[in-house]
Amino acid sequence: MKENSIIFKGKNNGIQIILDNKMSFNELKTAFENKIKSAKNFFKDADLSISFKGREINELEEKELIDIISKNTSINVSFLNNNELKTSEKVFNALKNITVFHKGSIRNGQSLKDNGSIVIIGDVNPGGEIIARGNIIILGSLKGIAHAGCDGNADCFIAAFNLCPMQLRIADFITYFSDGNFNKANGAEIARIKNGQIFIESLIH
Amino acid sequence: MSEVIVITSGKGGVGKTTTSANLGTGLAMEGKKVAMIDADIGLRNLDVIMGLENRIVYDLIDVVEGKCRLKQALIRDKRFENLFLMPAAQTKDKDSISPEQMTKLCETLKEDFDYIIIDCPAGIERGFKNAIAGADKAVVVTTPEVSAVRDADRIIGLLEANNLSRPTLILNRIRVDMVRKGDMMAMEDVTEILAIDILGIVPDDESIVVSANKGEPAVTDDNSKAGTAYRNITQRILGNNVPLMDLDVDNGFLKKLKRLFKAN
Repeated sequence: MKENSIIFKGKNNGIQIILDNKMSFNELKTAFENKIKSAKNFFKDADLSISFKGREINELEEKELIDIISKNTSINVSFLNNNELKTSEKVFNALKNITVFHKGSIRNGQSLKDNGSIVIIGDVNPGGEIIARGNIIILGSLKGIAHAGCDGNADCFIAAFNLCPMQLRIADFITYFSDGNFNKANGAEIARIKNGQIFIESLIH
Repeated sequence: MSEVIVITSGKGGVGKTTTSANLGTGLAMEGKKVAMIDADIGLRNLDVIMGLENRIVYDLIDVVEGKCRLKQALIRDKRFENLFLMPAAQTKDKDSISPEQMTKLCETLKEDFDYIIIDCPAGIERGFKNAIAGADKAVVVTTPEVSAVRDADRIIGLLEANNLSRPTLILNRIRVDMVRKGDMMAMEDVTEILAIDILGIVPDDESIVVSANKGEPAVTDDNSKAGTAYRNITQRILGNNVPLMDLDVDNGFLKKLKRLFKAN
């Protein structure tokens, strides 16, 4: 068995595990189990975000590897990062930035800006604005202006229970709503960039 | 326990002064000792609406500048002896008084009066800041128009930022016929946006114009619909539970008959 078939690499957001891509998966599993056992005392019962690299593994294989970790150690796997992130995962990763929670309405003339994501528990009234480098979630009606990903991150999204804004901005994209759409209750909706356009779809499928 | 209530709106012409005059008079009718302060320095109106214009000798600025005693500037109403008006100066501007001076004035008045009603000027600048400085409670007046509601929303935000949380709302000049046709915002549409408790609704009423011209607040007129609305609001300020006015009521003979049958 090769000595370095499994390599652990510390990253600022967790542990990256580089897997050998030549051996069979069963061989790899054994090597992985040995490696995990030897590292058991090092990690103890840490909360770890883990990502796999170096080898294509399917969901089933990934689950097996995670099971090995939880069987042999008391590490708590808090987040799984794959090499190939799906778009939705990318979007939600932005949530890992510090999120500001605001309880109450944002009224006309008021502005809330933050470097992370913003969650509003209340309404954003006409004339109010929310500007975030991350995502914007409004547990209420969005009737004012919201700007997500304000420093150019087009992966960000804006979601609201009732999305009827004067204007939506995501990164450098701007869209405004004609009067016909104004105040129309469509249920919870999410806006994000798709094919170079701000795209709104229902959150309830 | 005396209370300082500021009547504000942001937008001009929605009925702040009319509301101040009617609430002040309404509270005086209930036997309370009331002082009304006109904070609209340079554009005073409350004295005209109250019909006390010709009695002004000293004003608010004279008091804070020490040119007269507080009692000298307070004008006693011609109908109610427990109702007083502190008129604004007409030849000065809003910078002639500071929020601190206003707070001090309110504190002094609180010793002698049950209620102090402040008529706030339009806008969000110095005049507004002066008017709200000494207030314990705020009443926001709006009409069912988009622009007035926008401004009311802005004002509510500013009030909350200045520790006047939970202001209440008076929706003025409602026209039931237009609401019914969908041409005017209904009370529900307004409260949905502003999300504050409603203190009262006042129907659009010609008698308000007549009473303003005569210098007699409509609240004293038993036949005025708006007057009834203001009497109800007065009761709510006093802490009594009065249901919101049913503006749909048509007092035609046939309608009355119909209602009678419906009730049975």
